[in-house]
Amino acid sequence: MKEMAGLRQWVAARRGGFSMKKYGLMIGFIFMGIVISIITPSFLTPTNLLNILRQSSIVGVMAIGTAFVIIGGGFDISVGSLLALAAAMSLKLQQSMPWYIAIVVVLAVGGLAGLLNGVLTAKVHIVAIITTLGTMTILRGLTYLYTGGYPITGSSTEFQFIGSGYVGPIPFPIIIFLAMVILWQFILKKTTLGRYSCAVGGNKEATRLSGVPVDFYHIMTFVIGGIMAAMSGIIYAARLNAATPLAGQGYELDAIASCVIGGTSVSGGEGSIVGILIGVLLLNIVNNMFNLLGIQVYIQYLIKGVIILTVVGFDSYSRHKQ
Amino acid sequence: MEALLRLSGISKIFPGVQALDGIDLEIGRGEVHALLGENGAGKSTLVKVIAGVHPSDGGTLVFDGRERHFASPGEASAAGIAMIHQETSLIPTLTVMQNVFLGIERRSFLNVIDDRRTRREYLAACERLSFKLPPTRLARELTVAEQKMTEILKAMLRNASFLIMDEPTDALSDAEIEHLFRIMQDLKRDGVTVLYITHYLDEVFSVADRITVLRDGRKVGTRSTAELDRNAIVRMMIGQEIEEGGEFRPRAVRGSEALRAEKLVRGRVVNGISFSAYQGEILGIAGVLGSGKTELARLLFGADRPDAGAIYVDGHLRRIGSPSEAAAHGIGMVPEDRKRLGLVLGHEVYKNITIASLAKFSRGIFISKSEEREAVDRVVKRLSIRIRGPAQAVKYLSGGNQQKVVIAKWLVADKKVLIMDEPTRGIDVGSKIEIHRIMRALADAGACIIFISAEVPEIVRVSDRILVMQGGGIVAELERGATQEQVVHMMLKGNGQ
Repeated sequence: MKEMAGLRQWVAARRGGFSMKKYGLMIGFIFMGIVISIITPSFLTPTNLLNILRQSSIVGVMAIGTAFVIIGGGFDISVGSLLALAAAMSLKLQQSMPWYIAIVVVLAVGGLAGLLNGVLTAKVHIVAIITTLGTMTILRGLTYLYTGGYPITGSSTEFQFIGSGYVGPIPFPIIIFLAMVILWQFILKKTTLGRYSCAVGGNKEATRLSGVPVDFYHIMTFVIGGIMAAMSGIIYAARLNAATPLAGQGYELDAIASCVIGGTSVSGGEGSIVGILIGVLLLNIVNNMFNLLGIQVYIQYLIKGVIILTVVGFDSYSRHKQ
Repeated sequence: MEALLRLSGISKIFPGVQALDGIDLEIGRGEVHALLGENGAGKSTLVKVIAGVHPSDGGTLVFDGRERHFASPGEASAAGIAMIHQETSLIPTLTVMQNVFLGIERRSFLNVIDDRRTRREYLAACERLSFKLPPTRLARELTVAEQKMTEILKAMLRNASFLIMDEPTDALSDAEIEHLFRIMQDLKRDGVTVLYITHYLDEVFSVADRITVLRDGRKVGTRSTAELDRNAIVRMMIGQEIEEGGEFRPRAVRGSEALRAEKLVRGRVVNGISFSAYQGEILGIAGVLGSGKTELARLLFGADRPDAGAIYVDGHLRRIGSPSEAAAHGIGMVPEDRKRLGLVLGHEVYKNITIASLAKFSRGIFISKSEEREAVDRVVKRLSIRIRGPAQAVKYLSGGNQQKVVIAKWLVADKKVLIMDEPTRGIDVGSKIEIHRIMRALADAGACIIFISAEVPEIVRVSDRILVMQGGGIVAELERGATQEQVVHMMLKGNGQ
């Protein structure tokens, strides 16, 4: 009896928070899925669903890092450029070293780019969006310098497996994406790193006055953002077996949109990695639906924008009402 | 005297606190009226109700012969009530003149701003009040006194007949205060009515015609300054009633030295402070707003860095450059502003409680949910924090319970020295007494509590020893048994060195 009362209290307390919007999103997601499967019969085929998931995985992996940055109270628009540099490096480095070492180097470069973003934001106190606007430009420039402006192609078959291999019927990028979602959701919810990242984004000064070395955790969120962007660059290169200096343009916006649709608050402090799964799928399902229906590509941009504004608008307005 | 403003039975309730309880007040046309009372007495709330910032929960307000219900500061301003807040409301990047005419820009043909007319009116207003304020100076370059003058000009150009000032002299030098008082007299001659809040008793006698004293949200009385002296006002502010909660037990034993500050200096706000605090004692630090108490607390906790001086913990010289270093040396702090500095408001109760001690419940970087949960349940029970569950967001708790969460955070972290800056500000009497008891229990268990408060009754009641601060220095050290009058006298301006 007593246990039950305790449980009910716990549930009631949870409900009092911000989970309403989470359920709202789920309902919307399912509703949309039903509508789409009715109007486009080819939507609910395994091939098509796996296709959507695979398309989602590159932005999805990037968005995991972006979510950490936003949860920590920051913002990172340099990840699209970082994807391009990472993709180019992971291919070109293979000309002089084994593919697995190239991957390690590329992930390290991603971490370093994130470190730079973090230090400029947390220590030099440049507003995050401006910091990453600067590094976005720098990273794109570095990519041009590194590639000489030409596409880089060719890699080992082992490396290509990362982007185009299958485990049973399932494309390997999907497995990476899902594994990363599980790993980072665990880190967000069950480790001090995740807890402090949320606290820094929720109220940095109060967290500092609780004796937490806040600058370190603030910087770490950017480092995670950089590593995950580099990882998405590797998948990108392995999938296409090619990298152009223009790769990844606009991906940062899709990553941010996926986070925000997935319930990560733009003002920081709260978020969900599992939510990204929903966010990125939602964006890609819309694309997919329009492709299946044979509707112009340009309209997809409009719809994407409307979805972002609807979800974020609903959230921000209800927050303001409180 | 004809009444310009008449309040009857004005009440205001904030969640968990009766901030104002049936206030009756009459202010005559052309009068300078001072509003006094200790922190938390309801002064600011009362003037905010008058100025339309807060709607009242009961009672009537008659202004200039008509009953009014101001729903916003704009409505009060349109009726002729202007309020000058403690913090400046000027826009730093605009000039003095642009600030003064903000929202009432003088326009000419085609709605273009008419600079010549603006300047003419500005200079006329300056002359009337004998101000010398260059119209083209940027607001961010003004001294505090000049900011106040600009705000007064702003009010006058909106034809305010009733001017409210919230602690206008707080950051001013003596000469500037002198000037402000002359301005008040000029305003009075012009037929403007002034209501102002102050902490400084000496001023009251030089400018105010009458004073009203508030205590705990109720009016104690309104008197003419001619029939009062300093002591009488202090008695009105403190009251004669026996403190709630019965007699408070003094320390059991005074242990060894827990914390020692030597000649701490920071800017002009902390001027070479030295003192010792001991295990098992509650050391009270009293002082009015701006006396340097909070700045001292922040230095001790590493929230700011001192320009000079040394801090010893348990007899060892420690470099405390950040709160995390302070925490590592066994110091915790309950900051003055729990919402802004003490809590992550949107986060759950349990996360706020364990944020300062997460390492205790972790193996490496992995948090043990069950251990964390257990510790939270224990401390919630110990402090009787009223919550619906540990996962409730702290923003939904009452002020008293929020404050208990901040205290719980340091209780779980188990620090030897706990600095508490205004831990009972803005919370109800019941929670206040509970927090006092918790402080005693902590000290009895061997902790050293540094208790900072501007509220004299609680400092006298709770502290084993009291340091009184004024102008960034310690002006007195009083043992337990000191009276409220003694402390108040030491706190107020003019009695220091």
